[in-house]
This record gives sequence, structure tokens and C-alpha cells, in this order.
Amino acid sequence: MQKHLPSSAGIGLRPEHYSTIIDNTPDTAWFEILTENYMGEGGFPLLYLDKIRENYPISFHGVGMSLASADALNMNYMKKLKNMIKRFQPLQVSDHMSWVSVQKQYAHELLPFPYYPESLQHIADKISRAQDYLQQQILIENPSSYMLFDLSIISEWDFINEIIDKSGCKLLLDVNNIYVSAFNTGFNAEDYIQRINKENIAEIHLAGFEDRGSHLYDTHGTLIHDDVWSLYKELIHLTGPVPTLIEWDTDIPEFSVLYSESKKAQHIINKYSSTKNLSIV
Amino acid sequence: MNSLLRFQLDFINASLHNNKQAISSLKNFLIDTPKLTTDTQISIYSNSINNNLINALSNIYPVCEKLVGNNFFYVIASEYIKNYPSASPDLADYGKHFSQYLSLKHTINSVPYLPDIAKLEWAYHRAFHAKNELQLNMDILAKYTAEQLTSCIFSLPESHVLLTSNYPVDEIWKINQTENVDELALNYKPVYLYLFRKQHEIHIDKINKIEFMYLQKINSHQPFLNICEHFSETADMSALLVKSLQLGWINQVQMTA
Repeated sequence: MQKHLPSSAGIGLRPEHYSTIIDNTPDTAWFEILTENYMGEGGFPLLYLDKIRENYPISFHGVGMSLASADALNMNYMKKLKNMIKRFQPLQVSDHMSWVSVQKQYAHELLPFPYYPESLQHIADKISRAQDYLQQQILIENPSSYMLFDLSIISEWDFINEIIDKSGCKLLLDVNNIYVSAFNTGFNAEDYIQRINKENIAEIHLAGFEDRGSHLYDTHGTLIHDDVWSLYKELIHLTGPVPTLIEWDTDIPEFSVLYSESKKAQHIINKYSSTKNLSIV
Repeated sequence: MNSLLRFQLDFINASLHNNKQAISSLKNFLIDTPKLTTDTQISIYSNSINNNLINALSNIYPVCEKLVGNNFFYVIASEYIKNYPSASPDLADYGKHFSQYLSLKHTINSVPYLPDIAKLEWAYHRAFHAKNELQLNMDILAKYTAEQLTSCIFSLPESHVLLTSNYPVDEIWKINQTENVDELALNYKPVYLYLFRKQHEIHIDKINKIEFMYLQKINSHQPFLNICEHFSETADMSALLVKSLQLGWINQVQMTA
């Protein structure tokens, strides 16, 4: 069995597309699931996932680890995750550099927090504990943000670079999140791409946002914006081929729309990886 | 209390509970961005958190939403969220007390059956995610003597729920699965329902009062002989057993010593 995700374009698996994928077995390199959608004890979601896993590599992408929460890890959640890993053998397991809960109240939203030495150490320790328990390296995803903190004294890219150094995890770099956060909180997206440690990147996410006038909102419900494609080209030029996911969570369109976006990403992977270290056209 | 915990408690109390003191305290952690004031920053997250939870309730209770309309459902769901915060990382666990909340807080004359519809939708939702169970092997059961059968303890699927209502909630639920619903001519008499999942199919069977009591007794895990004695004068127990086996109401059998 394959041990690593192919450095190609994959697609986020959504229930609306189960039949299309099972009936037509499209030439998609891999699929990523939202882990929590398959944490039930049985029923159709697991049945379909079993069928899709027969034909495709998969990765797990969760929102429930709440790594930046002041709370300790929720071990009931971790146990369910570990059982799922054992059953479906994902090639990568990721969650977010954010928090969703505190003192057993769950917001079901990826929430921001200030970047300072104590929060850095706290998250690095939690990631280490999660990896020890799962006996698996995990990836953390950079957040999209609409908030700026008085307490933050470390840039996001330095914060991430150092967490990874301390914990030994890898990075899932969401290019759309960089673009959205840069617009909303006022940093330069290209600086971010330049300064993040490229060797840590094990996966890239691409998605769409909505322009709400005062801010950009990370909906994952539209086509990928041209500016995000440009940033992605710049990134792939620097990294070479990296597994890249087309993520779509709201107003889910026909599978063909996601497939077409994945082919666009694959074209960039093919084009820019062959011209690595040459100037971008 | 460390600053990360203080910040996160303020954030939750501000965004989920709209607590004025928490909002004021949270703002001390924040600074304006070139585009967003601290008030806007808080409201973006607050709206997003509330909308996620409302959408979760809307997905679990689509018939309730259809019956009261999107706007009123939004009001009810918003109130529910403030009273019942989510306590699980799995959004599929959220909304368990919605029926109870509706019966305590919202008496709506035009849809008096709303809490019972919510009860049915929650049972359906949980059955959808319930664990897969094996079906009873009828060939093995067919070899049992009558005496052996009476000493058996039968079990219902773990996904099962026994429901009663003064309204025909099964019909209301079924009719509302279609896009357009005409005026209903409802026969307002009590119904007894048995909801369970057989392999991947969820069944909502209308049963009579005797069948309802019989399934309750089966669920008390007594030998079948005890159950027969309980119903000695009121039911044809052989017929009931055959029917419950044929329809998959029972899915496990255990021989007592």
C-alpha cells in the first residue's frame, strides 16, 4: 500500500459526490475527508468511505482537535480518531492551528488566538502529545483570520516555523487563508510565502472566498480567486510538487466543477515543478 | 488564570452568549486592523459560530424548519443555541434537547405537533449514524423448539426508538419530505411508532398499542416466557413474535441456560 499522498491534485470528498465517484471512478489522485463527518458508529457515511477507500488514497482533515485551546486534548475525540486511522489507513492526518472549544463548550468554528511565547509552547506541547498518542505525525493548517491581537508579538510564519521545529509536525499550507488573512489583518501575502519554511509543507489547500466589502470571508464556496492561483504558482515554483487539495464546503457544485479546478492545479504542478528554480513566467 | 484561558473564555462568552462584560474584556485583547474595528472582528466570529450551529439544527430538523418557516426557525434555533451550548466536537451530537426545548418554550397553535416532529427527526438522525448491526439468522431460529423459543431473550436494534404522539407525526413527516406540501387533512388521533435501522435503511413503522407495549417488554431483556405471561389474555404472542421477526423489529436472540 502507498505510504505518502501523491504530489498531485486531490479533491475534498463531499457526500453530494459519493455516487459520481463510486460509479465513474474519476482519475483524481486522492480524496480528503472531513474527519468529523465519519465519526459516527455506522451507516451510509462509513459505507461510502469504505467503497471510495478501495480505489483511492485518502487523507483525514479534522476540525476537532482544538490544538490552540487552553484545555487539554479531548481524549474521547482522540480515541475515535485513532480508531478511524486504524480502519481507513489515511496517508496524512491534519487539523488546524486554532481552537474550537474551551472548558467543554464547542464553537464549531476555527478560532484565532494571539501569537506569543506561552501560546507557542502550549500548542507545540499539545501537538507532541497528539502525535505520541496517535503514533502518527500530523499536519497543522494555517488559519484564515479576521482578528488582530495586542498580545501577538510573533509573526504567523515565524510562529508556525517554530511550532514545527519544536513538535516535529508538518504544515498544511492553505494559500487562500494566507490571502484572506493578509487582506483582513494587513500583512503581505508574498512575504508570508517567502518566509514560511518550505521544507515543512506536506500539503497545500486551495479554496474560494467571498468579498464582503469590509473583509474577505473564507467560505470555501466559490471558485478559487485569480490572485490565489498566482500565489499558488509562486509557492509551487519554490516548493516543487506538493499534494494540493481543492476544498469546497458550502454551496457544493457538481463534481465536474471541483474536478476542473483540480486539473488546473495539476497543470500548475506539472508546469512549475519542471521549471523549478527558473523565473516564473 | 493564564491569559490564553482568560481570552478564550471571554471569546466564548462574548460570541455565544453575547455577554456584555465578556465583550468588553475581549476587546482589551484586540486591536483594530486597517479594515476591521474590534467590534467588527468580534461580530464576524460571533455570526459565524451562531450560523454554524443554526445550520446544524436546520440539517437535523428540516421538517420542523419547513413547518414554521425559515425566519421563525432561525429565531427558535438562535434561542436554543444560547440555552444549550454544544458540548461535543462532533456536530452530529448537537441538538438533542431541541424537542424538549420546543415543548417548554414554544407553544405554536398552528403546529402543536412540532415537539413530536422534532423528537422523530432526532431519532431519525441518530439512527442514520448508529452502528451497523447484524440481522438475525432466521435459519438458526427456525430450528429452535417452542420450548427453546420461550426461554430466549430477544433484543431490539440499538438504533430503535419507540415514540407516541397525539398527532399523526409519521404522516406529517412523510408528506414534508416532498418539495410542495398541499393542505393536510389530518386525522388527529394518537399514533404509536417504532423507528429503527435495518442494515442501512431507516424504517418508521406505525404500530398498535399492544405492539408498542410488547416491544417495550422485549427491550426489558426478559425471557420470552415472562413476556408471554404478561400479555397472556390480551395478545396472540406467536403472531407477534413472527411479525416482529419478519419485519426486522428484533435483531438479536440469546438463549438462557
